[in-house]
Amino acid sequence: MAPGSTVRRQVATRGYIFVPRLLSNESTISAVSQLGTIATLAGLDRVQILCPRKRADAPPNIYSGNFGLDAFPFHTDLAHWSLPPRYLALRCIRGAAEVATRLFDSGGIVHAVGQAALRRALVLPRRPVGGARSLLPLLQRIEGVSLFRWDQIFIGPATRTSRATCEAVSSFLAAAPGEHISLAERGDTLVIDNWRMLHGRTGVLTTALSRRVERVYLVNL
Amino acid sequence: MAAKKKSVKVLADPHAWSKDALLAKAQRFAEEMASNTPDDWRFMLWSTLALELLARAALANVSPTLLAEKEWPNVYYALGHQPKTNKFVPRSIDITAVFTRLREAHTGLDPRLAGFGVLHMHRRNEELHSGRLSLDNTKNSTWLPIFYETCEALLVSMDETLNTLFDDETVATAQAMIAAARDQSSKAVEGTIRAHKTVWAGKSAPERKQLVAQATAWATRHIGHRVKCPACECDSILTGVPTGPPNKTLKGDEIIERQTHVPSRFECVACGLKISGLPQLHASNLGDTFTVTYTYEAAEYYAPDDPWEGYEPDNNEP
Repeated sequence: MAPGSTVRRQVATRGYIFVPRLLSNESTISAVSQLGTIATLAGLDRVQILCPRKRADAPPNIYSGNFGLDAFPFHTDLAHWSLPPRYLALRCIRGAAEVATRLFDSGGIVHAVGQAALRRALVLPRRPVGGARSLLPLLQRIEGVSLFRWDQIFIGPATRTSRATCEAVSSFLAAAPGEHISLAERGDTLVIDNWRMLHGRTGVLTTALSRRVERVYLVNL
Repeated sequence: MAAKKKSVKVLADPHAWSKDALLAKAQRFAEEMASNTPDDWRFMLWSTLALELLARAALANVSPTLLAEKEWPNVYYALGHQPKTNKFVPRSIDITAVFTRLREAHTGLDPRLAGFGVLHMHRRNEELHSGRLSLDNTKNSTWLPIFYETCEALLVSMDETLNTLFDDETVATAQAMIAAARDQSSKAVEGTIRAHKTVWAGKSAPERKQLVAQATAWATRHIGHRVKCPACECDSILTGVPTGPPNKTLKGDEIIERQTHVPSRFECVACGLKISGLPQLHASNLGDTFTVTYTYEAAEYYAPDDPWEGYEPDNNEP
């Protein structure tokens, strides 16, 4: 297993780390706790089970209810929250080599669209969060760290110029290839800097419907 | 010893008095402000709203508790808790107190800028609470440079820049205005104006009358913004450079194009006074940005340029 300092260094450098077969006989809580502190978030289970679902079988408040077995577009998790979790870990329970998690560094978006424009771009959650809807910038700095948020379903532009900036980001991402990583073996774990990296899932064929991934959020590494 | 791991709290919804929530709202108001031209009263009204939110964000950046009215439930609320008090509505301090606290809280806001902030809020209150059109006839050169300077000081206190609120073109204009207002050397132009005033006063009445008529005709024919000369008060011309692309609106069959200009040159043909440069124009009370408006027929606007307009269509000999 990669030591904690290696995990921290690689996530700081590349925005993510892939750890093959991380303590594959242990629970996700137990295994991922070796890498960092698992967050407890209001209204969410500490460990969430992700499995492919057809659009008709899933509610509209989750990605499967919008995209079904098709590819999930690039996004950051909980982009509609004021302060989304810093890290997320995806851990394979039942693998599917033909399904991949796509990753893209927001640094490419900042370079293409411009830091100032992204910092002025304001979005609103599509639904109230905690009883209210608050303006959120696409790009902000939190205690010296950049936080980029993106989601094409759960947030939308709040002003005219923000709409133009969001369209520029969408166009850029439409042509962004990203890196592909498959969680194929039990215990395969992908830790992602959720403030920096966008992620998405490739489409799922009927042969991969048994894929099971567990997700936890981390407050530090 | 291993370094302590740093954790950042995860929050679903931001605190209404948090720096980030207040700054985001200031950004929204600044965008509305910038969608109007600086000589439009709405530009100034949105500027007052943006400045209030920006000032509150800067104070919240020190601590949201500084925004709380004195009763303890307000302080408790500012700390992120919900008081048990029945029908509790959080109350924050008024904006004058916000500027007073900013001035005394090492935010870099000097008394001059804090004083402007209070004055700007008074203008807004007069606009909102009385029937007087307080914002309609305020020359933008009297408030816009110090407005941008105040915004910049508040943003810097939060480790931000003017680019957080405004696009690149507006920031460039704002910085030129701030520099012009600070430029003391430009005060020399006041002597030039006095000299032209003296020479003008020495001219005979018939000569002045003839020059006034010539100046009016000249100012009508020439392209530029017509203003009164600070020396002889005749019609004269101010020209400038655009601050960004024109704003186009469609009204019936006409396209109206409005473009904000920063003044760069002044000329009066009556007394011969010429002034160049924004700092000198600002010192001469000619530093107001102005809007140039063009009206086109939609067909004319979208029609491609035709160098042989007026001739029959091209034909290889009839």
